[in-house]
Amino acid sequence: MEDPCSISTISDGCWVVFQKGTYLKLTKITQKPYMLGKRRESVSIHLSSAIGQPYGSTFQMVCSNDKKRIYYLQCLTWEEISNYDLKRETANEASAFDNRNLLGDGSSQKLTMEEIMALKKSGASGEEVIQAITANSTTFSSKTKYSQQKYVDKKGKKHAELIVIHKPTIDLIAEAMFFQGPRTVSYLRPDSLYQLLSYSNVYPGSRVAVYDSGTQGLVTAALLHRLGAAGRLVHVYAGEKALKYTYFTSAVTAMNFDDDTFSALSFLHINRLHKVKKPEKTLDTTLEPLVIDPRLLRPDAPMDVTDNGTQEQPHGKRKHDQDEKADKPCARRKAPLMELYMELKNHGGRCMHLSETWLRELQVLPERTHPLVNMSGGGGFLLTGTKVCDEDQK
Amino acid sequence: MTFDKFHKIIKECDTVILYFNNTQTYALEVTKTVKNRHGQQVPHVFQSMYGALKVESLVGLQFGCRVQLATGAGYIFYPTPELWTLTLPHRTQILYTTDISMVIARLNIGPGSVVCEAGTGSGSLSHAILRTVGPTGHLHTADFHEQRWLAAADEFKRHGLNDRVTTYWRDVCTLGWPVTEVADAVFLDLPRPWLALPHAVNAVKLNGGRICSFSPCIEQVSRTCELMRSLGLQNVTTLEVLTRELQVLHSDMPVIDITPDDRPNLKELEMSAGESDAKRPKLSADIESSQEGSEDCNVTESEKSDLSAIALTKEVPSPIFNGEGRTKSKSILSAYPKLTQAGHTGYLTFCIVPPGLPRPVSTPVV
Ligand SMILES: C[S@@+](CC[C@H](N)C(=O)[O-])C[C@H]1O[C@@H](n2cnc3c(N)ncnc32)[C@H](O)[C@@H]1O
Repeated sequence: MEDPCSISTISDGCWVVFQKGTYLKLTKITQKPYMLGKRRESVSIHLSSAIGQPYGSTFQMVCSNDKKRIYYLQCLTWEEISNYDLKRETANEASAFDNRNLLGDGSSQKLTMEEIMALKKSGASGEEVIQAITANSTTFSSKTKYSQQKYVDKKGKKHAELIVIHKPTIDLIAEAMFFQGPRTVSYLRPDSLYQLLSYSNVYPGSRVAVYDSGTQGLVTAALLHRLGAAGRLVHVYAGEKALKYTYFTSAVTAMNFDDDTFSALSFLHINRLHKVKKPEKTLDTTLEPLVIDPRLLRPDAPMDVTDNGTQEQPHGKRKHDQDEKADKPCARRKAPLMELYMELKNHGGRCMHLSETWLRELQVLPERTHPLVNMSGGGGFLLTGTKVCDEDQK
Repeated sequence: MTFDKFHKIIKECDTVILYFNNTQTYALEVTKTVKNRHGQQVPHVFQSMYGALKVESLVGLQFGCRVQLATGAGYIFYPTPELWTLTLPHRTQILYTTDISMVIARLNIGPGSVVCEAGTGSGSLSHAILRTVGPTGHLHTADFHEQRWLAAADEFKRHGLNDRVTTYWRDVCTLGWPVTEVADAVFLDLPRPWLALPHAVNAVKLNGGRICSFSPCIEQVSRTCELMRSLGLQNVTTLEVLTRELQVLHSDMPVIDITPDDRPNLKELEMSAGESDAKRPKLSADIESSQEGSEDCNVTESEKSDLSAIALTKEVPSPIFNGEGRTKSKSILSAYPKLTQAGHTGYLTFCIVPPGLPRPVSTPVV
């Protein structure tokens, strides 16, 4: 039976990523209204009105009760979206007109979707269409101005941003969670997570063990996505609380994984780690051995990825985990990783790198391109390395 | 044949990584013979700083093992796409893991994904994509440079990736990819990405997908972003990502042993209080204000001025040396930033192709 959440339309009970401008939030589609905004100005939106539309559709908020500020969502067509954007741009420009420090920017007029479609209908060849849309916008400026007039919103309504309901993919989840509060994911910035995913060499069907706490299951969900149904992911946890419980309210749940992928995930308490049996030394080439062979990796704090390694954890790793437990973990610290670096180096760790990534976003607009004024100061440290064969350690 | 499926024991024709240290890392293909400059087959021997390695001798060893050469030892690593990126033969500029990680994650590539790429270049990104899409996914990669196309196709074959990749010798700016409406993601690393952008949109599945373009220069980014918005692509985002690497080592730090010295200072007799007041440099302000509050402090005016002198000059005999007259030091674990590092690779521009977006090009591709 097809899981309603794995198909490509928004359905009841599914997790989605709600986007309004730069605002991103992970939420569930229910019959209850979604509260948006701070207490006094908050509005309630009936997300259930989006059910049946494809993921990634764009919606307009339509007021159904002005006093109670209740809205529902109305799906927009392509023509509506492009007209809507144009209206907003025109409105912005009109308001900017009197500001002498701003550039009156006629050069940024763009071809509308409608015009592209009209051009296609008029029998223009594909190449001509491309030429038209890639050519300098001035060629079309008169035409654009005409259509602009047509769409100028005479009533001068406020232009609220449109809403997009996305399928929860790992990048959108990581971003939404970091956006909602870096602390909720132990300051693991999405780009650091992405580096971790590369360096841990996870691939469909590989075997991975992870120690991941304090990230709302973000690392686990990301690994599970990369592993697919053919993989094996052992989630090593510490503490008394059955982690499974918290698990089902996390990024792992939000991914709407199918049953096959979900069954790749199993749990193991850290105190039982020593019990994991060594794999038999067969030459079965279809499965990777459960030994920390190619890659060993952990970012700072509660996350820990060890590619194909549930046992043979160097002593240092375990000790480190305990340190972290005693001391409130924080992904922003690098000192624990420096110590771990040294310990792992003495336990067969080679090709070790301690690093951090620097991420900067840019505003790109004609004549107004510059890096964003604010950027994140730190998104976690990452220690990567390769564990070599044991013979060497003696 | 090592990139398709993990195995533990080195076989003939495997590609392996020979690691000595972080700057001396090499990719080797385990073969009996290689062609020399004159086109003759000669035994495959790798000449390293630490001596010669008969490459064939690696067959049967385990990945992760140590190999002893004449004057030093190295390790044999399994070739992950990250290690391949560091060791591959350069035919073009390539993308490195920092950017690659961002590209793969933000394009939402996973098992079974179908990806279109142009240009293939040296295949650095391609290898990382191929690992992530796995045997059930597919990569359609195009380059208009014949030699590069042939070299990449040959490499994929030797790496056992043939089943999950199709290479094209093709100009994507005029022709696009031979496949349309199949891709979950499209990646562009071209000098004029905007020309290929309408084709990129066409390659994406009707229910939507992602596109990313990499450009070293902001002018290219500018044109690309403008066109992306015109085509109705959403969430157009441009970013830069760099890695800051830290060197971890134990290093010595001098420790100053401060022993309070209460003996009267001879110098104070030679100096009048007023004089020293006038001469008093700015730096003393801190010391002074910290002393002012305490009533029973027996520091005289002139002693204060002397303290400020200590703060400024080294000649003044001071109590900073310990009994034996030398400073102590202690070993601390430190992380040093590199003196120079990559400051720019390129700008990554991402966008989302929403479901049902009208396609800009309708011509059947040749
Ligand atoms: C910088 S390289 C790509 C490197 C690649 N991303 C990697 O990581 O190895 C750019 C490549 O694009 C190819 N190229 C440039 N214009 C092209 C076009 N119009 N169609 C197809 N390939 C093109 C060039 O031949 C070159 O090999």
